[in-house]
Amino acid sequence: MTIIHGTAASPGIVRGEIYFLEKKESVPEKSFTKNREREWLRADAALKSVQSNLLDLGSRTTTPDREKGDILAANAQILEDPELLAVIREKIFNDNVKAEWAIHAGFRTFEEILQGQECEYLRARASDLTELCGRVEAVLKGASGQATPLLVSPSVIVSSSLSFTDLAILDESLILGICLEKGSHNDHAMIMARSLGIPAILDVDIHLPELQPGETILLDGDRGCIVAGPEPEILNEYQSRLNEKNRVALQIASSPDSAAMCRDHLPMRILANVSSEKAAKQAREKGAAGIGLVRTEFLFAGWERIPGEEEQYRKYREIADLFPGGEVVIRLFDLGSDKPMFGFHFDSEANPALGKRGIRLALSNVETLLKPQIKAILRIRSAANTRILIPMVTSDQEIRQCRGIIDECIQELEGAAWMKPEVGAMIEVPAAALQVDRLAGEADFFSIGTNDLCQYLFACDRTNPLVSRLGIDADIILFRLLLDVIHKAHRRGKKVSLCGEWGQNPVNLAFLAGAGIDTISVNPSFLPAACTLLSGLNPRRIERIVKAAMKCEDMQIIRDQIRSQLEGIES
Amino acid sequence: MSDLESQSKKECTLRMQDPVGFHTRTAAMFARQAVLFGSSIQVLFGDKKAVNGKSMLGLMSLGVKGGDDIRIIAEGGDAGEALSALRNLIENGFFQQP
Repeated sequence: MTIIHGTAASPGIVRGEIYFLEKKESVPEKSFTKNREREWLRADAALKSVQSNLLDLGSRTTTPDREKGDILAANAQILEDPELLAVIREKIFNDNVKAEWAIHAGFRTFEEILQGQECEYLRARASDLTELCGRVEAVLKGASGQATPLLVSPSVIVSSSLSFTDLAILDESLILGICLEKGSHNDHAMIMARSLGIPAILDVDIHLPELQPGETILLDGDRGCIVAGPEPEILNEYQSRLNEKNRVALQIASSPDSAAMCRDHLPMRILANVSSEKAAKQAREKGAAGIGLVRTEFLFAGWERIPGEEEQYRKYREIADLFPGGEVVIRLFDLGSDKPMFGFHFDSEANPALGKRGIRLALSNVETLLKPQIKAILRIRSAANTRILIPMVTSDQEIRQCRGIIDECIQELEGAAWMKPEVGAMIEVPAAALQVDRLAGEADFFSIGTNDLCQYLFACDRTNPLVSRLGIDADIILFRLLLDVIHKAHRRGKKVSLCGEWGQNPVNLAFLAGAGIDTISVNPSFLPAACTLLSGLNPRRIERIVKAAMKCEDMQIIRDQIRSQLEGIES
Repeated sequence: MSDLESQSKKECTLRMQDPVGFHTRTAAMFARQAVLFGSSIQVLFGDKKAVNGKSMLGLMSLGVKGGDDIRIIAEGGDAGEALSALRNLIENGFFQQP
């Protein structure tokens, strides 16, 4: 095991396999020509070819990375710079040199001018010119100039240097970290690394025997060092350092003030799940921005008849009053399978978990069950920004029917259009998870219920101790499914929240942050810890890490990659 | 800021508003704009030799920083329009994305 020192250039810590990027630098021969016109045409064609490649790369950039696109376009423009072209032309027509030398000399002229600049940023631009020159020379040699994908798996790039075009060509979602021999803090590659949250270090002796392709190393962009061939004890030490920080961060009851403060600066919203007025009070004390889930059936646990509209209104009102004008998401009664409620019995069903429950039950009992609840919810609309969440959705038709009934209720209450709340669908049945596109046509938002989703996805009963742990620890397909649901919902302009206990595991929470979830709703007691954890994440970095990690097949690697981002939460 | 006019030659002195001055992106934008005009465009800064305003490399080589004053000389049939467009860029335009 060796610790190799360098200069920190982009913060963060990562562990991954080395990908060695070879760089060949050469000076062309100064050869002469009799056919100056031909040499000029060669030079011109090569310049245009590289230019069009760069412009192509710029427009193909998949991440909405303005920075990268602008830099590529600006550098493409250098290739038609009149002064540069004038020097190249002069070399060919006055000195009779061939295209290779003319190009080299032309770029050298301006490299030297930039290197002589006072401003460090401008001096660093000289290497952009070297890079461009290299590409033009390669085309003259006969290379197609086309970019070929080099990375196939998440890796730490080790190289003598890295240009902006190298970064553009490499699939950045596969770049875990960068380790270079040469470069400056202000190189475009380093600027991009920082903006993408990729840890990087410079001034490393890359020819050390420890840095072999395929070797796993720890790259510490905070302190500027590499741990090569980390021994298991060191890895464990590292891991436990991370775990310890996580444990401390999570066990905490940090002050509710900090929770309220940090929640406003997070990329996602943090709400609370409640099943009682008491929990709602606790949620407010802990600084929740609102209620992400009111489990209404719990508010009337044990009732053997359906609560009346007035009775429901009073309970919902109590909760809504705790968050005046705030968001309160009320889930319609989710009855079925587990226990008899409100006079409904499920004994007659052989398989109640897969039977008439949730919205199915409600839609069969519109006047007695569904309408009183909806009316009670509509009546608190003036107190809070209430939204209705439909449980156990399997089809868009169910949502449509609910909307129709909501309209009827508004009429029956002689209410007005402002009473109409947003209507969301729970994604807890695989059928729903697999047709988010279609549901987005009817739903205003989505809420992922991981408790039930895991259950149905892995076909295991979470009340059965023999199998209840199956799948809960995030089999890779659950991660992929969640990513897909979020992606598809966002494509249709709909927001997604997650309400299950699954979101309280730190790795899962970090994953959700990277996956782009809009809101998470957790138990009130977990609120401060969730805020602490999320405020310690760099949003762009975790997004990148999740994207890279998800290209793996190994769940352990994915979890490790994500867990490594939870380091330094306290600092 | 002053405008000196002669037959087909116009010039003005402007203050660089963009805090980075002529870096890659801003120099590229200026050059891209300048190249649209038939007139020749020269840019002067301090006691440095005049550079071709249509060359982003030339502009970068001036080392102009935010707050510096530069002189632009346009000569040709569309000198007036050229100056006006470039003035707009120096005074406001770099903040807008192309």
